[in-house]
Amino acid sequence: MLYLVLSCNSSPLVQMPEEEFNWLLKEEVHAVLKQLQDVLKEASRRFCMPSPGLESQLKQENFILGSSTYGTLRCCLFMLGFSPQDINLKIAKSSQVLHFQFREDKQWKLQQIQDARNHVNQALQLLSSRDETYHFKTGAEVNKLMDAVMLQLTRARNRLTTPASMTLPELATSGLMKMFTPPMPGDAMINFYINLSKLCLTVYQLHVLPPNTTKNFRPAGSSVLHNPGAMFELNNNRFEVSHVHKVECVVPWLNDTLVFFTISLQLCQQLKDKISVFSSFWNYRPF
Amino acid sequence: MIFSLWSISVCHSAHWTSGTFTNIGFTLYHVVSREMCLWDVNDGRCIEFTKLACAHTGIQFYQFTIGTEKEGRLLCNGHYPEILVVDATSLEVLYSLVSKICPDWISSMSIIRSHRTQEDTVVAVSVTGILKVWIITAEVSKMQDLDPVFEEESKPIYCQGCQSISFCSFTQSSLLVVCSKYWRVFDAGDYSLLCSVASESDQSWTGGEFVAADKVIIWTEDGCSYIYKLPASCLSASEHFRSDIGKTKEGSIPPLIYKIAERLLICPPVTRFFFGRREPFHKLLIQGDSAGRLSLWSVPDSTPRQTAATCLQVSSTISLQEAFDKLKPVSAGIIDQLSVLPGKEEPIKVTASVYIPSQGRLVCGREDGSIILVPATQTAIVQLLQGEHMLRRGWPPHRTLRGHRNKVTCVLYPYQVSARYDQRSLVSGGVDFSVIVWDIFTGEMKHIFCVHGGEITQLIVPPENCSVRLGTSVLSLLLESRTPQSISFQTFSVRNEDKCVFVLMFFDLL
Repeated sequence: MLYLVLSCNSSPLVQMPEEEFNWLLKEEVHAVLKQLQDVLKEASRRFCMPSPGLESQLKQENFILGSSTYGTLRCCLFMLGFSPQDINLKIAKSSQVLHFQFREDKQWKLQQIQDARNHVNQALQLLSSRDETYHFKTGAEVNKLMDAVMLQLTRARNRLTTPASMTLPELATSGLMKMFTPPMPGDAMINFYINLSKLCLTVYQLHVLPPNTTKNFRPAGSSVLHNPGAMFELNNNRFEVSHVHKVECVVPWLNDTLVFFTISLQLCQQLKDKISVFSSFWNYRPF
Repeated sequence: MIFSLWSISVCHSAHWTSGTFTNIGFTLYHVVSREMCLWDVNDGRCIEFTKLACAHTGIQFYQFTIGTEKEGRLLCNGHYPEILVVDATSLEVLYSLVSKICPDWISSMSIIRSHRTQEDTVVAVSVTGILKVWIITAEVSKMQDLDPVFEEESKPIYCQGCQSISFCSFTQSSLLVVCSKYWRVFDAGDYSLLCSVASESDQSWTGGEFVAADKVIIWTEDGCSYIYKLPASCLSASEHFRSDIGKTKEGSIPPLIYKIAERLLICPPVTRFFFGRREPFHKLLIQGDSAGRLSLWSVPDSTPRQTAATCLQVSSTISLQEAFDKLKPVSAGIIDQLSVLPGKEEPIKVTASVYIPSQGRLVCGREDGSIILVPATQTAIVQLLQGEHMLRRGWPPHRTLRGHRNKVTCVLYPYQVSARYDQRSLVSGGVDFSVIVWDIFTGEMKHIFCVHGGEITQLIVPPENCSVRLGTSVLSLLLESRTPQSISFQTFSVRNEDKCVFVLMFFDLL
């Protein structure tokens, strides 16, 4: 597709890139857009969002989050759609299994997944507004569309790869902690998030710092994962994290969607590169 | 007012979105950096500034009276499953409107003021096409740390990708919901569908409003607008009101009475309908586009007799460039008297600049690669005041730094951003692929870095809490002009000693 053209102004060689560019705008762009739509529809299907009113079709999944490094934590989690329903925790210290249910009167969901799904849908809406009947007049239009789609896909991917970093007081007062029946014991905190294609669960075991402690109190900042020794203050009590248990498990359909995002971003970038071959050939002439 | 806001927007980068006038100023929200600012429109000062964790896509101002005091709130919706209620003066989040049923992002919302009671309604549509209704009262808004407010009603209306929702202030009984492929009118009492109109294949609606009890205006993303006359089934005054509920009549399109067509804009413009509440009750369609042009159409009240739609002509239009060109006297560039070349009409353009208040100096990089250092006040005096200085040659006293071979694209005085840098260092980047570090007091070129692969587009100082190794570096950001998928970040150290550490990192955008 690259043409090496010596500087001649009116030879037939200058004609050819124009015709090829017209072909690009009329045929190739729509072929790529169709491919993109197919890939993103597959990705969107993985999120499996039912239409409102059909709640019963929500995906029901059982996750067994593997044991952490020394087998200190095992967790079995039952999810309906994006919302956890039921959780069984086994922390090694005590041989008993702690069982918690998520309250029915409150809602909590993995917002990361909903946000990623919404970004994918926005990308699909952008693509569907430019279907086969639409006639692209300039390369700039194509670039603009590709930039907009790539922005949505990058945001979708970032939602899955960048879990929120919270401070310990934010975790303790978060909506998640209020979700359990029976309530979580006061010396434990839980955090759920998605990291890439893994569902991660972290359990923090706390102990109260006595008011006259000799330890130097330094409240910990915000982080995705806090370490043992991190301290925080809540409601005039000071706490220190004594143990951190982290378990995770791979969610296969999340892995698929990340692969779809990468493929789609590459398709978009390749189309932009094809357009830019012409723009650099014509040396920034408005085209 | 336009001028002062223009100068503010130069300091922050582009991509402002969602702005609204409040009781004391103008709030703007910046999408990329998630900053929300409150500007005083009289003098252009930024009164309040906050950085938010969430990405907003819409902000609306809501004012209510408690006793004799007026309070303002900002209702924000965006990439999160609720509506945030923010104090309009302090920009703090007070509480939020959340959903119990199918919580999801809100696409668009509208505040409906009630004239009879103290309860106002917020009507919104979520991205999955569910209509949500919340009731907000003035008393509730007075308290801090409130529990979230749940919705009063949640009804699926199957309108996905909703662009706007608006309440008919003429009849107080219908709602217009505009999506990109259709627009629909609903009964505002029980939210039942009154009529639904699909768009032509090429059109993509971006918003709409009621212009009269029986007329709506819908605008598209390429700048066209269409005024339709609503069928009798949508008018509460008509005996046929609500007669079409339950019947799917997507085929019939209401008569198109006016249109503003043949506007082909690549960037979707901002279009708003304005209805004056005082004499002479102007009905105006206002559109601002990416070319800096503002256009106004007057929306007529009458219905024409012709069967075909009448084209509306623009009532008035102005662009920023035209406004600048009309200035008398024409404003001059700040260092024009030093940049005039013999035999050339235009002075050498200034392509980058930085103002250093601590030294009272202005540093201007020019398109021929030279950098001029001038005392700021004296240079401004030359342009604004007449006096003896006009006779002196070479005024104002200046120093020229030469080193770049081509246009200077950015200049930075790192000490101004953070005191951990050397006071003497001035950094500049240009189109000749090089970054030069100067001593600002002696005018010497201290170092020149030439191994970049493209034009320098930006020079950035890392934030305060960066890692120690990056502590005294200045990051230069450039875009490889041939392979747009890689941005290279290169860091180099600007320190007291002459040693400079040079680290090269390549980032692939994908």
